[in-house]
Amino acid sequence: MAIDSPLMAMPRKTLQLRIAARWELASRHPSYFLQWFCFTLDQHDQRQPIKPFPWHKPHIQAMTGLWLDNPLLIVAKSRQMVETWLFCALHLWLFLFRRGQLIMLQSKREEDAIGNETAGDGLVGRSLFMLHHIPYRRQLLGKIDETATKIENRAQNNTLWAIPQGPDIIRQRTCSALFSDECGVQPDFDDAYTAAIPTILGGGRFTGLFTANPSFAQQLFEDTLGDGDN
Amino acid sequence: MVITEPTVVIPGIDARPCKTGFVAIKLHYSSDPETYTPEHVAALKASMPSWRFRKEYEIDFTAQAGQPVFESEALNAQSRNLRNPIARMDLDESGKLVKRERGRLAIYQDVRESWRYAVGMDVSEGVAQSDSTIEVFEAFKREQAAELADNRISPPELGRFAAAVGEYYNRALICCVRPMHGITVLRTLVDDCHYTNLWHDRMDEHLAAMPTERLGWAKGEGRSPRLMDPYIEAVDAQEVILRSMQCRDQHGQYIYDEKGLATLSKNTELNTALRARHGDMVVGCALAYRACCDVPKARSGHSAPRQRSTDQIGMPANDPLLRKLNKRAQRTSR
Repeated sequence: MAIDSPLMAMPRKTLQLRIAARWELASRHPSYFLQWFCFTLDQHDQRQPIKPFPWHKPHIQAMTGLWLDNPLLIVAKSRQMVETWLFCALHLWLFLFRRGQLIMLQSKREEDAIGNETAGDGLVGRSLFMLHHIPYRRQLLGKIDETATKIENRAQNNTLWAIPQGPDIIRQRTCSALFSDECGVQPDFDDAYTAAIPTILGGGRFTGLFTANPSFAQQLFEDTLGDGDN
Repeated sequence: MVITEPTVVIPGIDARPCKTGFVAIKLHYSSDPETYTPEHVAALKASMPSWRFRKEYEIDFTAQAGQPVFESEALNAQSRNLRNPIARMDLDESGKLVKRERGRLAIYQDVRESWRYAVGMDVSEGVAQSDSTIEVFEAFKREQAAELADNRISPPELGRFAAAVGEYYNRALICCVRPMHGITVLRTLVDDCHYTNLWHDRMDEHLAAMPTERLGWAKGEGRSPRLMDPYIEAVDAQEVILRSMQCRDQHGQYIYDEKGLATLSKNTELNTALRARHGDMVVGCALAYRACCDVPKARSGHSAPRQRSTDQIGMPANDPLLRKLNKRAQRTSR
């Protein structure tokens, strides 16, 4: 939290109450979490690389609402729309405020899914960056374990797991939410989709995000699965 | 907002429900006018080919169709690598490779005792249609060492030829296509020639509840992104050294079709099934590249294939300078 924040000028008791109230609101809706507790790393900005999540942008608010109300999403996007950050933040929200969640963040390679927190890169790397920049996180969060590929909250039975493309890990488990980033360039996305059907049919979340590329993701997006020689 | 019918959520975001239960969302850059100002969009358009802008920003799935698969700069850079064959070889009566003036196998690199090689094979019927190809690459530098392209060689004869080539190149790892006539070649290699250093895939067999190994490359050939994408990346990054001019030229004939799959430009008028069966040198090279990546490190006598340091320099593992550098690195790490 920046030193010149209006919160810092408040009396200690008022501040604690305000933070607790905001955290309570954040637990109810991700928009509050994004607005008050999420920070991103912008490598292009030399002066202020760490900045509040751009919640004010209309497309961020619209996509948050769509994600919350529609558990199965396939999103074809233009490049550099801050969507990977957004979906990492939304799955982090699930991880922090829901119980018994097994959340998988999938990318083409495991290295891309794991990423690097310092550089704000990769899926778990971005999630860790946001997790570690939550204001007053020591007061707000319980014990969270971090390994190379997982973030775990044992008290709430929540796991956030970086996985590579393909069906192998998904098939053996029924996850609560799966976010597949750049699924248009994952040759095994069709197998991953098939393996995730128990998740899809069982009421879990499945979010596929990709930039236009002829692929299985395109068929899912265009609703042409099973048509002709597709 | 629960999406039950096609909806414009805000300008630039369209959502519609699908039969699968998914909601398909098209997120166009115009939904973020703060970032994508007209000046920024104009700068982006000017910084890349128009088809790439249409693909990556306008969400145009067909923008790539007709574009070359391999970057022309990368192929032009291969010109300095091209050589005439240093020899030609063919099979003698006993089935061994011998030098022949008009041999079918063009040799670009003499075999070296401690080096490891990988072979890629694409198989045709051998009735003067598409080529059967054998491409030999040195597994360390990914340098083309030998090449055969023949449209009259029968699959069994190709199997015997491949076994001889494999033996000649230090029992090279052979990666051969499995579909169609590929299985004939693989059976000849195993049953008749007793050649065992073959690329194989491990698949989960649900009926037997155990993994089974299958010889050869199963999933498609020239149109398989799983095979072609890593090879395209390697050629574009100039991590592959091509010696044959005909082979280099064939790379230039590959374009993307409307489904974003690599295809030979002269065959775009053919239907998908016919195009998929067409064999050529590029498929052989892609298979050889895949085999290069899978040559066991311990047996190769070289460091890991995709590591940058020594691979890029092209330095053998036992080079004195490399040993010196390694010692220095160890001292530093302590």
